[in-house]
Amino acid sequence: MVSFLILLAVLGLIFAYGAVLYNHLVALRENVKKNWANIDVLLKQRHDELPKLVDTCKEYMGYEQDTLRQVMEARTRVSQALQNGDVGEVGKAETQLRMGLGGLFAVAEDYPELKASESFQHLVKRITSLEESIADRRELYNASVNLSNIRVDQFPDLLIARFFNFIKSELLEFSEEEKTDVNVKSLFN
Amino acid sequence: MDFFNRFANNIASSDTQGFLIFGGALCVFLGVAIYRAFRYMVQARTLEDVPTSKARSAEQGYVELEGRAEMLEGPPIVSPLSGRECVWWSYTVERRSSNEWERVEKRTSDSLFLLRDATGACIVDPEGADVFPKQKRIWNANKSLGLTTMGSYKGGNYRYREYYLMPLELICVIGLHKTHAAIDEWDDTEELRRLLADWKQNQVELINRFDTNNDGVLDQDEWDAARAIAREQVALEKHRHAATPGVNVIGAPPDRRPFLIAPLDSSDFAKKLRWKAAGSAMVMVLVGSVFAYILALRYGGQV
Repeated sequence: MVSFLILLAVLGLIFAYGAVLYNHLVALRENVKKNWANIDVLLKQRHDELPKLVDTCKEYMGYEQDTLRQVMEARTRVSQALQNGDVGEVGKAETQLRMGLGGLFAVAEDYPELKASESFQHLVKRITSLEESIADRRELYNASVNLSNIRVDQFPDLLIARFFNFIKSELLEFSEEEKTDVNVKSLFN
Repeated sequence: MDFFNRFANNIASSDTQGFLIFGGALCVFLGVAIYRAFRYMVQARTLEDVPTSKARSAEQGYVELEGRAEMLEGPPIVSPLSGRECVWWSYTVERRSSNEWERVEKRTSDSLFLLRDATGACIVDPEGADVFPKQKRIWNANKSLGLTTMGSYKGGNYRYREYYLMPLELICVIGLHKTHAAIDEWDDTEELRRLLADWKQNQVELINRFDTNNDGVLDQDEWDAARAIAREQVALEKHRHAATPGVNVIGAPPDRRPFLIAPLDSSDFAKKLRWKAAGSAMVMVLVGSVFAYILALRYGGQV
């Protein structure tokens, strides 16, 4: 009887410990989802701002249609990757978009009237602020992915993770040359 | 060995009441150790599992922030016993009764302070937080220390413990982050009432302004016109208010998730909690083993 009670108590503790591990794995998974959703919101906001920027630029940059088209194509790729929930593809499309934006702002240097335009300045400010927030959120997303992936591989969590099919998440990575955040403001100093 | 033999004999031969008291005490001790082990473990894991956010971009919700503690503008926060300027304090007063210290008073600061990192700042509302301060002062006194709050403890054997979080200490906070926009507090009706009450204070100016037929009193139409202008003014003020940036506050979550503050970076803080969990787990195993042992001694025949 006493042995049975002791065994029961030990099993109860093991079960409670397992429940804590499980709950924390769920919390980590939800954290990753939430942090991705936070990036998603900002990328969509920027998605809405880019056509306004391109339209403003079109008024002044008659001979730079290729640059503007590149930006719009990259914008579409980011949007499609977001719709498909493909993190890797979002990273690649973002790299392309950032390069396109970098090119656009560099070319804008040759158009003083565009630079002086109030709506252009407003859009640059807005996009800069969104880029800063995206950079912060991406950092946070990658940190939560790292934490989650480490737990999924770490003993004793991996026993629960394997049993309940917790899988690793994908980091949001931009290519090497684009890892430094686009600093739009610096292009105009 | 002799001790264990005597202990075993005592347990086996003790009367039922004595055994129940001893067993009950062990049970309570075991329960506390289990609770503490799990609590610290959950706190440590929560801290490890939530990445550190930046103050400027911290989302609305459960977040972890790291930065330097600062006082808010206004009167400084001063610890009540020693008068030290700090951002947070807590103290206990214990009185010696026979050979034990008995707690007679405990108070904790709930004053707001600021956490500032490289990107921005966030107000910390410490009410309901589990704080793990590093800085403390402990002293004993037999007589009054000349501290007003200590008046009722004159003449006894008292031990004072005061804990602090100091300005500029690196702190880690995990809790619920909310932005309180100025507009959230805005009430159109109340603002309109206040503005009209304000205008009514100066009847001469009110009549000069709105008495269009110059009869020296405000009739219903004139008063309606005054109200319409007041409404426009309130709407304009509301618009201005909406543009005011909100105030970020980190505080206690409404659910059971931990709200923790410590003057450590996040990983050292998690390590500290892990050690506490491990310590409690060791006590749990030790007390659990003793408990199992006495059960086996007492009811060995039924095993």
